[in-house]
Amino acid sequence: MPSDRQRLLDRPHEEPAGSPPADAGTAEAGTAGSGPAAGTDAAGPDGDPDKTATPDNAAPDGPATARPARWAPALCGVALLLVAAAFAGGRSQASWAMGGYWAGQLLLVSAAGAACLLPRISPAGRTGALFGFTAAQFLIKVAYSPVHVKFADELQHWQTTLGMLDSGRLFPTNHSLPISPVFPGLEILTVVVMKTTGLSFFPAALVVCGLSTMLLTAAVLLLVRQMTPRWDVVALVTLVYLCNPNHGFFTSMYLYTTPALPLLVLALAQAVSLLRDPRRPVGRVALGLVCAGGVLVTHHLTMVVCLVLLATIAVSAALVRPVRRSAAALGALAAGSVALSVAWVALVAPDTVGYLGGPLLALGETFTQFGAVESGQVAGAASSKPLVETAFSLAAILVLAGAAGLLGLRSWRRRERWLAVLLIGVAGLEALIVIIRVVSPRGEELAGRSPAYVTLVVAAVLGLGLHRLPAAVRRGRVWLAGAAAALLVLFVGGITAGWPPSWLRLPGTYHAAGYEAAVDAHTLQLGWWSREHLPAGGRFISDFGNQTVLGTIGGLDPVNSPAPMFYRPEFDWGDRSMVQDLEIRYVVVDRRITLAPPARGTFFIGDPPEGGTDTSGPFPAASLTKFDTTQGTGIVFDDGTIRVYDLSNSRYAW
Amino acid sequence: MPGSRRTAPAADPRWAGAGRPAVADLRVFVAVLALCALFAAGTLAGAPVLRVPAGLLLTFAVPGLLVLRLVRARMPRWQAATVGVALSFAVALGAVLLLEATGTAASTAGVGWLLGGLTVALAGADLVARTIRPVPGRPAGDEPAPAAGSGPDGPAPGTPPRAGAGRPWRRYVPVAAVAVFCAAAAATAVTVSVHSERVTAAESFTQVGLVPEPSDPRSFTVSVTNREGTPVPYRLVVTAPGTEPVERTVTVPAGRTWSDRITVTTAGTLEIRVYGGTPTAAGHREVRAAVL
Repeated sequence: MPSDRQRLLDRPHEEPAGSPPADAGTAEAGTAGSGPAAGTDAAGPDGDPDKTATPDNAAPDGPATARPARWAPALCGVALLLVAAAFAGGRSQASWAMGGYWAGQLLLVSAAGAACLLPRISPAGRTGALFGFTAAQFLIKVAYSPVHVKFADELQHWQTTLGMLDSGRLFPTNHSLPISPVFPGLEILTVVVMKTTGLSFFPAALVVCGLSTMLLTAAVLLLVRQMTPRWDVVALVTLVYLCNPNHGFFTSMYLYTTPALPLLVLALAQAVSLLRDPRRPVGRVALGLVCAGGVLVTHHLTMVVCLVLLATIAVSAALVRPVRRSAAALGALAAGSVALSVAWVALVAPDTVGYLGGPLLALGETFTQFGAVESGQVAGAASSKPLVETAFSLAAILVLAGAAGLLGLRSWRRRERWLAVLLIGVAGLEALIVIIRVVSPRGEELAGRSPAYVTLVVAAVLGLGLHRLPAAVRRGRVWLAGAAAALLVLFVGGITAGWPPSWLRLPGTYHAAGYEAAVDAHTLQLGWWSREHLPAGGRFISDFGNQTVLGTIGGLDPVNSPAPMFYRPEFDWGDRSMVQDLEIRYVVVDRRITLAPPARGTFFIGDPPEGGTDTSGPFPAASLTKFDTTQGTGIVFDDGTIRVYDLSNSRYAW
Repeated sequence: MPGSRRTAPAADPRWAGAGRPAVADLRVFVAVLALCALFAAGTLAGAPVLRVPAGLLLTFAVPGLLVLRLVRARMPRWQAATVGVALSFAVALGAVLLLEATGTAASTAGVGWLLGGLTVALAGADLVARTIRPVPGRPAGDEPAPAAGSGPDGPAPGTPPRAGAGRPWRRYVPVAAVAVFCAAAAATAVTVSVHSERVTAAESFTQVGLVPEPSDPRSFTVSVTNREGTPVPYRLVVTAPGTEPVERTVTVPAGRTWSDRITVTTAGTLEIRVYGGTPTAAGHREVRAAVL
C-alpha cells in the first residue's frame, strides 16, 4: 500500500501498477544498491534511456516498436544551415534572408516538437531531438556573431576576463559592470579552459557557453525526470522550457547567467529528490550545496532565485504532512546555501545588495504605481516592436499560463487540491509577468529577465501535473494539433520576446547607437587602441556603441547620460562643471550618428527615449563642431570616422 | 550494520577481495594517469591535438566523474554524465579560488598542475577506497563476469541470434551517420557565417593617434596604424609650436603600426595631419595636443 509520500509525489492516477518511480538522479554516498534514490531509474539496467520501459513507450505498442527518431537531430542540422544561410544573406542585404530565417526556425521547432509529441518515439529519440534543438539554438547564436563576442553584456564579461588574464588574479576592476568581477564563475571557467587547452579567448568562451547550454538541457531533463517517469512528458516539458524567450540567445551568450543556470537546476533537482525520498540524504544535500555554491560564485540573481526556491521547498516540506520527513534534509540544504551566500556577499561581494536593490525597487514601484499609470505610459512600455510580434510575445505567456491553469482546474475537480494550487499558482506567476510587462515603466526590462527562472518552475510543475493527470496527454489528432500549435506559439513568442529585437534579427547592418549593430571594425579597433594607449580608468563620454566597447575592452570608465553636453550647440559652463565634477577626460565622437536616427530610440546610455530629447532624426552635426573649436581641446585619435577628444588641457578643464 | 562493512569479514564472499584492487579500478586509475600524461606532453610539446582534448576532459569531465566514483553514487549513465560535468565545474571553480586564496597567480603551469594533481589525487583516493572497501558483489582482482551467452565458446546453444550480433558495430552505423551529418551541418553553418561576417566586416581605414608620454607631458607618441589591407604611403605634416611645419613620408605595411616620438620645447598646440589611406571628408586625419 503506497505511503502518503508516494501518493503525493510518485503515484499518478491511472498509472499501471508496478511502474517504477522516477529516479533521483542524485549522489548517494555509500548506498550501494538500495533505496529508490540508488539507481532505480525507469531506464534500463545500464541506465540507457533507450531501454526504458515506461508508460510512454510501454503502451500501446511496447518498447519494441519505439522509434529512435534519428530524423529529428538531422532536421535540426538542416534548420541550422537554413538560419546560417539567412544570416549570411542578411549580411549581404538579400531580400530572402528574413524568410529563410523563419523557415529555419520553424523547421527547428517542428523537428523537436514532433519528436516530443508523436507517440512511440524512444526516450533516446526524444532526448536526442532535445539536444539537437539545443545545439542548433546555440550554434545559431554563434552564427550570428561568429568571429568575436559583440553583445554589450558579453563585452562586459570579456573585460573581466581580460582583467583576470592580465593580472593572473581574481576580482579585477571592471568600470562597465563593477559587479561582474565578484561573481567570477564564468570567467574562471574560461580562464581555466584557456590555460589548460591553450585556446584563445573566443573559442574558449564558446566551449564554456556551449557546454553550459547543453548542461542546462540535461539538468532540466534530470529535474523533470524527478516529477514523472514518462519520457514523453519529460521531453515535452523540457521542450517547453527550451522555448522560453531567454533560451535562444541569453543562455547561449557569454554571460554569468549561462553557467549559473544549469547549476541552479541541479541544486533544485537534489531538493526535489529529497522531497521524494528522504532516506540517506547526505550525498544529495552535499551535491545540492556544491551546485548552490557554484551558483553563488557565478551569478547574483540566480543565487537569489536559488535561495528563494530552496527555502520555499524546505518550508513547504515542513508544513505539508506527507513530505515532512524531508524537512530536515531540505532545511539543511537551504540553510547551508543561505550561509554560503551570506558569507560570499559579506566577504567578497558587498555591493550586491545595492546592485540588486535597484531592480527590486523598480518592481515595487510597478505595484505602488499600478493605478497611476497613464494610457500613454502603457503604450510606451509595450515597446516599439511590430504589433504582431508583441501579440506573439504575450500569447506565448498566456499559452503557458492557460495550460497550467487548465491542468489546475482539472486537478481541482479530481480533488487533488495541492496540485491544483501549484498549477494555478504558476499560471498566476505567468500572468504576473504579463502585468509587469504591460504596466511597469521598466516592464520590458524586468519581465525580460524572468523567463529563464519562471519557466523553470512552470515546467517542473507542468511535469508533475501531466504525470498526475496522464489523461491530459492524449494521442488523438486534435490533441496533437493543439499541442503542436501551442508549442509553435511558445517558440515564436520566445523569439519575438527574446533577443535580438526585430530590427537586429539579421546581422550585418550597421546602426548608429544600435546595440551590437553599432559594434564594427571601427569601434572594436578603437577599443584595442585605447586599451594600449590611453590610461586605464580614464573617464569618457560617447554614444552607445562606442561606450559599449571603450568601457569594456577599451579599459576606460564610461559616464552615463552625456546627452545634454553632446546636443548643446557650443561650449557651456554647465558642461564645464559636469566635466570637472565627473572628471571626464575624453569625448568620443562617431560621425556616423549624424547620418541616421538611433535604431534603439536614443544615441546615449542612460537617456530615456521619451526624455524630452528629440531623437527622431540623425544627430545634428553642428553640435559636434564645438569639440573641434573649443580652446585647448586635444584630439588623441582620428580614424576618419571616430575622433577621441582630450579635454584635460581644454577650456572644459580650466 | 555500517561497522561490519569496514571490517570486511573474510567469511563474507562479498568482501573476499578486500586489500587487492580490482582490475577495473586499476584500469580507471591508469586511464587517468595516461590522460594526465597526455595533457602534460601536449602542453610541454605545444601540441594542440593532445592538449585541447586532454585539457577539456581534465576541466569538464574527469574530476566530476571521479568524485561520483569516490562517493559511489549510483545513477544512470546520462545522469552521472550530467552531474559529473557540474561537479567538474565546481572543481575548476574551487581550484582557482584556492589559487586566489593562497595568493598564487592563475598561470598556465599553476592551473594545469593543480587540476592535474587534483584529478590524480581523486583517482588515487578512489583506488584506495575501492581496495580497502570493494564494491559488494564484485570479486576484486578478477575480470567482470562475462555476460550470459557470450563466453569464450560463443553464444549458449539455443540462444537466438540478436540483431547486429556478430557485427555489433552495425547497430551504431545509423547513429554515427546522423552524428556525422549534424557535425557537417554545424561545421558548414559556422564556416559560412565566419566567411560572410569577415567579408561584411572588412573595412579599410587608417588610425592615427597622438598620446602624451606619462613621464613627460611635452613628449608625445604619434602612431599611424594601417588597416587598409594594402601597404600605404602616408604623408605626415607636423606643426609644432614655435617651428615651421615639417613633412615626412612613411610607408606602412598592411596591418602594421608606425610610431615616432615627438618632443615639444615651447607651449602651444602640436598638430599632425596625416594624408593617405581611405579618403575622409576633411581630406586628411588630424590629431593635436595642447602643450602647456
